[in-house]
Amino acid sequence: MNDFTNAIEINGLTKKYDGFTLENVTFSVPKGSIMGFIGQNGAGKTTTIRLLLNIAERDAGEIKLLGRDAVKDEYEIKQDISAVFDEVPFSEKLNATQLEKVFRPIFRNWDTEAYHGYLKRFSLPEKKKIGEFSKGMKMKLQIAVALSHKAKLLVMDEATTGLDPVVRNEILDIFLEYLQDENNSILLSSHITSDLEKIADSVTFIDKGRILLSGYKDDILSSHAVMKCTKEEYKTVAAEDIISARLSDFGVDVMVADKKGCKVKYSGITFDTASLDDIMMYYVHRDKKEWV
Amino acid sequence: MKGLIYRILAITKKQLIYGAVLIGAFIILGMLFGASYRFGNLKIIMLILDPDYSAEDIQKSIEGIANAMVFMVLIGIIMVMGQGLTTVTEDYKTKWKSYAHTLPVTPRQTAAATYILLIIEYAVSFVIFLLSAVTINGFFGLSLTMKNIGNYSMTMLGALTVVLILYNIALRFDGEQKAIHILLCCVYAVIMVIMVAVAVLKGKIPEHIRQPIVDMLTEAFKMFRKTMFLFPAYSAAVIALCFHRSVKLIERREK
Repeated sequence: MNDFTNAIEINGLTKKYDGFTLENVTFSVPKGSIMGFIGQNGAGKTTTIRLLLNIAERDAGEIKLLGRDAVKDEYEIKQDISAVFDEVPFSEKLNATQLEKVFRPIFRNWDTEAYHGYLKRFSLPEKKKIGEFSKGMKMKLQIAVALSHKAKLLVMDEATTGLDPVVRNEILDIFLEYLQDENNSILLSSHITSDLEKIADSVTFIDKGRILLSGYKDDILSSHAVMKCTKEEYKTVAAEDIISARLSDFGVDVMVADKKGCKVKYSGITFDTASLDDIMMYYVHRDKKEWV
Repeated sequence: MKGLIYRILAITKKQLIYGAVLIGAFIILGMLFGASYRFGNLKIIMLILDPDYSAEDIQKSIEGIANAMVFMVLIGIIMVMGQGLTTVTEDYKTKWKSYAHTLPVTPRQTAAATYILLIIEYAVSFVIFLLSAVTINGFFGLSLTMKNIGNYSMTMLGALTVVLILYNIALRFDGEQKAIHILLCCVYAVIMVIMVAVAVLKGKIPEHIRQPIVDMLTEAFKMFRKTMFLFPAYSAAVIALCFHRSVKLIERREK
């Protein structure tokens, strides 16, 4: 495997559908990190991931995975990539043991011991049909398969959605363990931002097919803030400082992207820390500017 | 590829077992009929039903019964051979196709896994079928002629090519149910065309137009009979074309 600094490099990725366009998507996931890919339902997360994995044909743009061209070196790269989807792609007629017999010959680095270790750790029965598994068990099985062939990149599309908090936490811990190896990287798409706040190093926020924010999570969180204004104070805030403003009977909450500068500029106003959820919500309403 | 072959086998295992039981039942039924004719009362029943039956009539009827029994086994085997198709529907249901694009498996390997499995199934089925045909005929006191074996081989080879064409239609339309419906529509259309053609030929067509058509069809049928020995070559060509098409269909990405 050649040397690379970014596990994923996407440049100018474009895909046009009837009624939706993924436009000029550009971001990268540094090697050894976990990137949260956030956005509303229908924002373009799944489309980006499908293009990234070459499941769908792109109209334009370049994708490099683990330092190699995602299309030209597709089958070679895919030995080192694992994908986890929100729906389990395994036949319900199979069981975990049979699944191993399917994947062992496919992946050269398949690790039987690791696979059985994960089955044991996740308390997954080996002989029970997948059709009889709960949603959480199915997702754990998919993750067990994904982690058992020494993949260097995990791409997960809403993998934790629909799972209860206990299972989600368990899975997030596994991801953190996986990242102990600095050659491993994760792209985790989700609209559950609390999970990403816990584990992500960087965040990319997509909305209506466009990347609105991409960078280190801590930088994004520290640069954004919610200004708690009265209606009078709100009138004094410059339009260029406002991402969007939420109007209520008690006042106006304003999202700003330059917390430091705004704190100096509007010294009398209270600033609240912004969560990823807040940032996502205020950015989604950026076109309207004001919302209730 | 080994993993992919195992996957199809594991998914279709239950249907294969049910199919084997069904075939076994047909073979036993055939043997029982044969034993009843040779050692029991089937011949007596036939004579009771029609006392005017001559020895030749009985022989003909028995050959008919034996053929029907063998044909039932053949149909069972063809049905079992088509079980590989059910994975297409299963894959559509579980979205395996998208997932397969994330695996280090080329479309050629995916298609080859299905074709190798179908051809192995075909070879095994053919051996089982021949053995059962010999056994059933033996129970009737009949022997299997080379002509019979040739006909059976061609039927099975033809069935294999139909299964592979169906596999391609299933891949194209993401499910074997749709493929079967499309095939049935095609079969109905062909039957309708033949029926209309027959009706036209038998109808009020002037003799000077009708006769050349009949002669042409007769000649074509004769030529077809003469080139029957090339049937395996035709089938091989169809299988190769089907394989090429399957690779293309598996290679397709979402637009």
